[in-house]
Amino acid sequence: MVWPFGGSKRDTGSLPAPVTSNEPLVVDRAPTTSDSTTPSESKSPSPELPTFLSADSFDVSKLHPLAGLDKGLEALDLEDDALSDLPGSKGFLPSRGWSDDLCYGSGTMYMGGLALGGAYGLAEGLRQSPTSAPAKLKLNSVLNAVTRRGPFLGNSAGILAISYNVFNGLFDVYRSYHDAYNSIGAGLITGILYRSTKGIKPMAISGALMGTAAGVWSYLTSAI
Amino acid sequence: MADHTRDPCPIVIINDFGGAFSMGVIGGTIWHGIKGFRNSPSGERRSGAIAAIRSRAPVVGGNFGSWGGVFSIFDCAIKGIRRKEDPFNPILAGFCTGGALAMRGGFKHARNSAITCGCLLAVFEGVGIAMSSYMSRASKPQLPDMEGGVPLAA
Repeated sequence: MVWPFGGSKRDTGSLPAPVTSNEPLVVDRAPTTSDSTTPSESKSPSPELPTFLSADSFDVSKLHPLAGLDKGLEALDLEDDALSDLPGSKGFLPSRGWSDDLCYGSGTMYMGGLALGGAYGLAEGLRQSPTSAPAKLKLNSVLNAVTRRGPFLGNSAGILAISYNVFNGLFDVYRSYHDAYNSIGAGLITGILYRSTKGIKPMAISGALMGTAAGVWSYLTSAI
Repeated sequence: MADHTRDPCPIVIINDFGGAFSMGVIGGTIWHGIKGFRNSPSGERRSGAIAAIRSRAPVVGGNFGSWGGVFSIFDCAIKGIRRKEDPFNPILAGFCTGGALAMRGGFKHARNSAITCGCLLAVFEGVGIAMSSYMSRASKPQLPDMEGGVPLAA
């Protein structure tokens, strides 16, 4: 860093002895010999950077002791007034309400389904292409399989999550509190809707599966 | 301190994925429901609408979701590299997103798509800045009304 006011720190640290009068005053102004002091430099000690600005003495805990800065940035620490105040909705996951649940729930499910389906598609694409195929053909086969399997699983999982969270939020609003029955009912309706064009038996199976999954999930969130 | 409107960077990607996906699914349900209803012969309008929603709405949601999520990933990455937040972050992120999502169509397609997305995001950012400056004009500090050298409010 170029300190614009006066010489650098190295010059002031090793100030040469003042020149005596019987020696010829040789002032070499060539840029190669930076140790030689010009008269303007030797007249007054140049200002230094204040020591409290150096990095090792910078202690955030001393800046404002009440602010709790020494604990680091608590980014995921939602304050109490931002949290959802619905009775019974406090789990181990911080949430601002049903829209937070919807976004994070569907995002997690969608990305999880995408990753899982993508991995399955990757394995499938590698298996289907012969080992002697050129790399470009192999890449194309893998990409085709990934883009067929990944979005399908991701879309299905994401839609289940959206439907579950919407019904869960509706039940919460309707009953003005949250408990496991809301979750299980939302899961049941989601599962029934998901297979609603396939007939009674698949609807019942899918609804039972989703209701069980919702019950397990709400037990886990309340237990931790 | 805690920001109540938007979560910090790595985790907000999940939120953006989910939000964009939900928006796409709900919008796609409405769009393809109406389209399927209109395009079916009378008598099969309801089943046509349901079939169109079933087959098309998740795809619209997936397209929205992948766009929003990839955009958010690029936005976070650019914020991490540049270490500042200004309107160029979303513009650059939109450019990268457009390019990345059109990558399989070849270089020309990716380039055109990247430029289109960057311009679109630049327009969005410009409109946002104009709107916020227009909104803040109402709350500009004003000189107190002076009468006889004494402010009336004092």
